[in-house]
Amino acid sequence: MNNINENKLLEIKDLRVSFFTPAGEVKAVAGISYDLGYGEVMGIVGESGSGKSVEAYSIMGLLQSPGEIIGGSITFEGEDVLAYSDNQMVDFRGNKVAMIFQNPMTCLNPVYTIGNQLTEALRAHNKDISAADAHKKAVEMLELVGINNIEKRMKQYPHEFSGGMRQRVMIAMGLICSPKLLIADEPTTALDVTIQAQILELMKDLQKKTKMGIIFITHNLGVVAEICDKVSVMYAGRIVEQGSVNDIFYKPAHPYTLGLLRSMPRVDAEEYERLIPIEGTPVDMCCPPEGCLFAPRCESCMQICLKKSPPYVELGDGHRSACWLRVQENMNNKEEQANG
Amino acid sequence: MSERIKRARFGSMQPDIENLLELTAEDFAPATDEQKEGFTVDRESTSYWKDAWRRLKQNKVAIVALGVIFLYIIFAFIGPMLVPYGYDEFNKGAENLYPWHYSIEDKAILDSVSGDDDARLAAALEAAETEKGSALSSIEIAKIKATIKSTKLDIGEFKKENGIHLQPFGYSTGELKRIEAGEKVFPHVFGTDKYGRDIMVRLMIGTRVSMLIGICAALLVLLIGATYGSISGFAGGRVDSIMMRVVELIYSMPEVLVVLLLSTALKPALLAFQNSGDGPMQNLVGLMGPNLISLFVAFGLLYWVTMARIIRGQILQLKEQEFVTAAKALGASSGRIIRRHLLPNCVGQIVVTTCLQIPEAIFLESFLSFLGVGVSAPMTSLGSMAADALKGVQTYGYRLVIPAVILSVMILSLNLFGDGLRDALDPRLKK
Amino acid sequence: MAKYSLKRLGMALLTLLVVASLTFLLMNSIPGSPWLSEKSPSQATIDALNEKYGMDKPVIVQLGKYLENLVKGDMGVSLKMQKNRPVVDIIKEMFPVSASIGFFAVLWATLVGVTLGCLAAYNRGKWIDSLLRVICTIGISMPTFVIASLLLTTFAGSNEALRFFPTIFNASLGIKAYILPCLALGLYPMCYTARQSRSSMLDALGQDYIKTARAKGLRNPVIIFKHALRNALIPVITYLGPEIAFAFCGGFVVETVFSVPGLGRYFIQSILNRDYPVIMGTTIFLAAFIIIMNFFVDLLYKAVDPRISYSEGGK
Repeated sequence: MNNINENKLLEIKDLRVSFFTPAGEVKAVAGISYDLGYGEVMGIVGESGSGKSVEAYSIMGLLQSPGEIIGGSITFEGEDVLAYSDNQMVDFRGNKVAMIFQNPMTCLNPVYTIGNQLTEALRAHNKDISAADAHKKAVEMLELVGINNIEKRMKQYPHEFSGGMRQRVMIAMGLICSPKLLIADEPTTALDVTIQAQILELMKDLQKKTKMGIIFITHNLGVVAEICDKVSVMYAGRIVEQGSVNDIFYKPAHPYTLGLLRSMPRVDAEEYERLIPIEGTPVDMCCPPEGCLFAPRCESCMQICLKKSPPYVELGDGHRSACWLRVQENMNNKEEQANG
Repeated sequence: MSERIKRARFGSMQPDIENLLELTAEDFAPATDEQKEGFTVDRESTSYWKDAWRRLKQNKVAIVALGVIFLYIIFAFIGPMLVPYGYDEFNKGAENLYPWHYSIEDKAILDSVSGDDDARLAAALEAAETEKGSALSSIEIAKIKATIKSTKLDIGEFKKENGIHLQPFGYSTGELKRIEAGEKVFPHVFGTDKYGRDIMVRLMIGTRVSMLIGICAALLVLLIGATYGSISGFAGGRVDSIMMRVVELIYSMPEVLVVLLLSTALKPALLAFQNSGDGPMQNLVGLMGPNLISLFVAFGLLYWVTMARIIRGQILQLKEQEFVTAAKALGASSGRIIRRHLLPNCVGQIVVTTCLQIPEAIFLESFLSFLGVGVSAPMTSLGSMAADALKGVQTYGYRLVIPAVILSVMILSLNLFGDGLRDALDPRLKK
Repeated sequence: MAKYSLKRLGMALLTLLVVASLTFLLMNSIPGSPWLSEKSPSQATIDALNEKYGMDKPVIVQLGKYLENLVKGDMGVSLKMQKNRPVVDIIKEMFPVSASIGFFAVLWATLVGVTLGCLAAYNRGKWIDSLLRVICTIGISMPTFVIASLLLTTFAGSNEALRFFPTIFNASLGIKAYILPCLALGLYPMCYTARQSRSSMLDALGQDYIKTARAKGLRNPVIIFKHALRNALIPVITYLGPEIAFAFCGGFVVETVFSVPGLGRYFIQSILNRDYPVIMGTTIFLAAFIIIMNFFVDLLYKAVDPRISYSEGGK
């Protein structure tokens, strides 16, 4: 563990997660690696079933049977998270890393007041804190996420809140222990568009104030552009492209990223430009074939794509892509250089 | 927690860049659509029912339960044809038989040694009393009782020494003699009751009655509940809310009380009707008995509400879906939409609910018969057999235990099968 | 809350009215007068009796009169079983016995049922879950009379070694007299409750807010006892209503088997003896009891679940 970069908040190496179902092993996450610095915001983009959420759950130790981490490492501030004992894991969750979920309507316990649920996490991680202090902290957090009439709100039940308000409460709840990393699993997907914008604005704001790292999981590239520094594009359990927001949006190096971008409406689009959907459906993860899993949907699919899984090609400054096209380019470049 | 890390089952995904240089230009030729097509193997898609059947077959408990149900059907419907006794036939000289017997010789030996237990006790007490000259204290009586009992143990020993064993099945002495004479006599497998009626045949008929009642009641509930529920769910709005108020009203009535009341009230009317002439309806009433008819009336009046609620809920859910809108847009009538689009889609729920209604009906029937307001003589049912047996339970315990076990196992199998069916048909558990 | 309670109370009273009228009309529809079933009295006697009991008037008037008397607490007098004794007196004498058996049966059934259900849900898929599942499925497959008579023959039967309890109910024995009847009466609801609470516990454990609680870093006991249990118990409350109904109707069988001098056994005897005023009075009384209990259970359900807004009226 000597080679750990001390500047990294989170480092994931070759993480593999499989679900062992009666139909066979499903490789939900098939070897992904990335790292995240302090205060960085990383977007993970992909369609449903690409393994984004499973990956996030693995970090939190929330994977449940039949899901299992079968390989790789997760390192948080230089500590191996996978080697944590159950007790250490409980301490870790909610305290150092917090997570908020997609559907704020169902994520709050309907039979307890907001105040109760807010202070609960605080008191679980800080046994010495008095009820009054916890209450004060909770009020502070609610103020931070922009909720009015706080004293009254604290005594209310979740069903008395709107969806956007509940997501604000969820965020307050996540941040109450001042975690260094927040994992947001599609936090805006279930909300109205206007509310989405508000929540995004809030998260951006809070990130600036608290300097925490955020892993932002979404299937919406627009959201990514709004808030993230770095982006990982996931497809079928693998990261197919990784890079800064600029790299991904202006120099997409994988046909899947390109497809995502073309299927996204843009304000600055020319009038005649049409949205182009990505044809086909993702592969059945139950029996993935050899080769690139995006190949059957890829318009520039080559012979090699059907035979071998593509390697990562560094495109400079942390921008890398797993696509045979890039390998081909690389080889051509080298040949040209050799030829003079 | 450290165990969570399992060793990687395959090598690293990061390939060795150097090896890539072996690639040829051919590798980078575009792939054809066919090649792309053949790349992935999709799992075979299966139909809903095929899939359900596959899941059901995997559920061993449900399959065993289904097997038991088949055995019950054979027992109840084919059994009575094989046994030469009638369920209401009095077999003279074969009253109160146990489901076991001693051979004639053994019985003679036993009779000669054992005598009457009570008589021996009385004799012993009298002897002791005359010896003492006054009334005996309770301790002394208990002592004597204990001695008598210990001699009883000797009889057990005696049986062992002489090789006297109980033989399975009940035969009366007369029947044993006929067997000796070379006649073939069908055994009373479970013995006979105090009138000499063969208990096994009565059990078969009782099981048949219980099963038929269960099935008919479930079908009745299905018919009324499905119709009412689908109309209510489909109509929606004011009609729905009025219809649901009625359901709520019926739901909050204590069913068992109403059933008891109905059977009390309908009995005289039905008896009068039965005696009024000799038409087919009168015969039917006579065959079923007034209590049974009130039971069905009660099911028709009260028990359909659960089914109606379930179906209404399903229809309300389905109604919002696109295929119904599409059918409406194409100008299909309401009746057609219910029949062709809505009911087939909640058929899984309907099947399960109906299936679980059968044991419930059997439950109620046996409950009523046990109380003496269910199936009436000469017809029999498992519940009324158990009720009859309760009076002589200390001596003839088997008469209570056998119908009780048969009934419980029947309901258990039906419940287990129903549960299995629900698991198989529930798409939420689909893997 | 008040509005909902009133609405629900109205519904309960309406149900009661329907049951009472139905009872009266059904009993009245029986052909022949109740006096005929014994020795044939003379026509004059019948007329006199009819007049005395108001049976010469139209049915609707009789119904009105009967309901009016009901409200006053007058249910008429027994015609056969305890001749001329007011039905209300009989109920007053018999009901406490039934009620105490019913109460203890529901009590143990609910407590044990919920505990076992949660235990099974928590150990889902392990042997204890399977074992409890088997036991509970068998439990709900045994009619109460089977359970009752098997208990009777085993623990109060001819086998001296196991004869812990009296064969015939004897209130002077105190708690010992109640054990077998309560056990027999509670077994079915206990198994049912256990199954219900298992599935509702599993349901609760699968909810998103449990995921939130885990993500907050709460410990397992807190997650289960604070977050899952409270939610899981809410649907179990709805089963209390039917359970109470079951305890009183199942009481008919249990009281018969154990010869308990309770209202249930008396009711069955009155049916077999066709003592109409007793049948009517008992039916209406028990129905009212069950309906009122259901009403309270309903209010309780609404009270513990903060999600229900009372203005909706509930479903």
